[in-house]
Amino acid sequence: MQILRISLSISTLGLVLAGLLSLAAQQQNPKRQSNPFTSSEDVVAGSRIYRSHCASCHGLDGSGGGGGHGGQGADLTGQLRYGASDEELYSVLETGIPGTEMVATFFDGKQLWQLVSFVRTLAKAAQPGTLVGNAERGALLFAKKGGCVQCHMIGGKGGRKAPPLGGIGSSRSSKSLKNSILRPAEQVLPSHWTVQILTNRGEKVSGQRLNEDTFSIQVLDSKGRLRSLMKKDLVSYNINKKSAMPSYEGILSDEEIDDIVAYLSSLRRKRL
Amino acid sequence: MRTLQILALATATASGSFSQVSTDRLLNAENEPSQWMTYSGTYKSQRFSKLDQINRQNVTELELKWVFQAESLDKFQSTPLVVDGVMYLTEPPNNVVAIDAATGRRFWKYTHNEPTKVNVCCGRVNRGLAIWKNSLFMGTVDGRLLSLDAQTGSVNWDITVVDYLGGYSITLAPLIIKDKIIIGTAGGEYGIRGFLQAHDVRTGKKLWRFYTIPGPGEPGHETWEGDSWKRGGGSVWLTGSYDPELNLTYWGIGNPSPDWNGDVRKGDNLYSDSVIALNPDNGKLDWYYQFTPHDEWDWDAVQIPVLVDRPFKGKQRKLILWGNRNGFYYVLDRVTGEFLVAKAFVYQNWAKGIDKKGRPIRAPNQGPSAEGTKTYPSVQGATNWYSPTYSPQTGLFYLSVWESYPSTYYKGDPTYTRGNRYVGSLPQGIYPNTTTDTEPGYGAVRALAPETGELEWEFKMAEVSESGLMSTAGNILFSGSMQGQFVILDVFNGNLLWSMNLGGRMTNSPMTYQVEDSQFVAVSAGHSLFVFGLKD
Repeated sequence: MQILRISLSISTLGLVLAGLLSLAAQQQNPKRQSNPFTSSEDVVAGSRIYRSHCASCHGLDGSGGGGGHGGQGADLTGQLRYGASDEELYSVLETGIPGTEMVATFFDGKQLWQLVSFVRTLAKAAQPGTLVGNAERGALLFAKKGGCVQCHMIGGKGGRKAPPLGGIGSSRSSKSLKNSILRPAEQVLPSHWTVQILTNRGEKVSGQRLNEDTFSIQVLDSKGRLRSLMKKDLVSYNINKKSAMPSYEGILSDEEIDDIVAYLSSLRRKRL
Repeated sequence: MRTLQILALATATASGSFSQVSTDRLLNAENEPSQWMTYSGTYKSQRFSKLDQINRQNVTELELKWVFQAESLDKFQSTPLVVDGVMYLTEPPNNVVAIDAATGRRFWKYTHNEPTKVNVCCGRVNRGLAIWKNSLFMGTVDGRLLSLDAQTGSVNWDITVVDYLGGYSITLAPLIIKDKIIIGTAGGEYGIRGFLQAHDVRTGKKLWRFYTIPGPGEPGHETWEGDSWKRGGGSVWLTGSYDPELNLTYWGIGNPSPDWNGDVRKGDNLYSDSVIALNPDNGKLDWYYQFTPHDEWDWDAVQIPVLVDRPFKGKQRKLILWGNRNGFYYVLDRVTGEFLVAKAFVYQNWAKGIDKKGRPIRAPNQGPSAEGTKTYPSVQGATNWYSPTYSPQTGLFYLSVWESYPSTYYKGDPTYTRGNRYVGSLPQGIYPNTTTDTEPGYGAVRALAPETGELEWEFKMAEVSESGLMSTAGNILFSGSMQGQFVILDVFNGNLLWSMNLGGRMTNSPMTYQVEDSQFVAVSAGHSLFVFGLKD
């Protein structure tokens, strides 16, 4: 940065010299321009940095929840909440995110750009290629033939038996979405587990287990009510970590599944 | 506001504030349970208080007295000090406040000017202050040591201990021994060479430094291959203990660097993952014991050394009780460092046991690998820096445990760049209630028989805990959870006596004090400190 300021102040020495100094500045601290380090070698260099410095929280494949050192980093395979542009991502990597466990780093400019290049590949790697489906057809399949809307809510319409999917395209890659349609049992987030409860009063409650601690459990019951129950008032509660959603492999064609994936990928959170 | 502060100061003066914390008071802190004058309460670090106004019979009468809300989003790991009715507290990471301990009203605030970027592995944190006479002492995340005037918060002196750009930071609460401030440096994930250091309480002048990674010509240097010692880690980020009779101070030392690739640092890597006993007058090593030689999992021995005088196999002995991050409970003789007992207190699969000399018998193929190795305990350990407690009234040792949590440990290329992480790949942890939580692990408070490590009782929790423990003469034990449940247990059997949802992650250790006739208990949750007492 010091060199940059110098390069701006020596215009009287002639444009050629200024240009040379400016070039030197870019190589030492090449910030505030589009990413100049995007070659395959740069991506490999960025991947090494990522593995040693980022993956313990963000996971080897960038899917988040690495869990190292108490960190449960964000999923980097979808649309990033911090880092929509390369320059913004560069700043996040350099200065961290205040109030979170995302720390600042002391890499030089080239290393930071290489890291930006690699992080961008995480989202690309999560895509099954360019989206081949048709989002409009996907929306119809979601509402009708697929029956998805019976359980999933989007924009205030749909059921509550399964996770709402509004904005899902911002947080999940198309590869991940397709995997969930074909193999829904493979990963079920704890907030989507179901629970069956018998209370001391003989009431049976079933529904989505939203939260739990040592003394209580929070449920969205089958009637759509938010319930918070103290465990001391329960005879039993059984948590089911499996997904109630069937696999759509063989139910929908490959083309139809691609259409639904394209539709879900188009559902983005509004950026402020 | 100004008027209110003057009134508060006048009240504090009337109740005896501003008296000096002499060396004698620190030495006899056990007999002044109204105060909390060091990080762990006393030099023995039992985090046990003789206060018993709040006890098993009346604990249900507790009510919230006041709340301090930090103007910071960083993790709240600080244990407050309380001296003569005034609470001194760090607001994360390095602001300091003085508060009326009875009402929560603020007397003054010191605001630390720090760089926008610092090197901290796990959050910009601080664990507390030390006090001597009218001076408070604080280490900072940017490698400085400050002395503040306890009455005004003004800076007596402010010195740079170490260059934070090299990966160093100071996060522990200093320990005062006689006329010295003992501090250590964090940075075990940044390729530092760790050290403990003493400074003069009056001037801040450096008096001695003990490197936790021995250099050429020093005993233990042979346990490092080549130049690996230069970046060997061995951080010190939790306050030690002190035995005045032996004139020895005990400290737990952090992991070797790089954490998860031991190939570049073959050998035992002393004094990483060890407890060391130093002479506080000159910083000379008296003895050491290494819990995890050649650690490849990041199992710092950064736990509180709990000093206990009690019978052991029929003979009265001076002991250290130690629940280690590696999953074993240890008993050592603190006069000589002799290894006495080790027993696993959680499920672990990295060692077949501990031999008679105290050396672990490593299980084959449990170290990190390119394809990943699932090993118990996890990178967060079977326990961690969360304070344990020892109750002389029950004779039991209590600690917070993570039962049956593994990590998958990967090995990679360790590349060092100054000021950046130097870890040699990574662990992938399995956390409760996240992602594919298929493990049966859970958190618990456990009571162990100190002579054997046998389990006496367990309070099982739905989630793991980062909260320390405290026990009192009221025969109650305090702890908390990640989800903010503050719990009080019966020390004899672990039965739940009282709980309250404080609504935020609990990441410090409870402490207690008394102002006039009232006992208070303070604990942090989220970004606030909550203070409880009995109903008026």
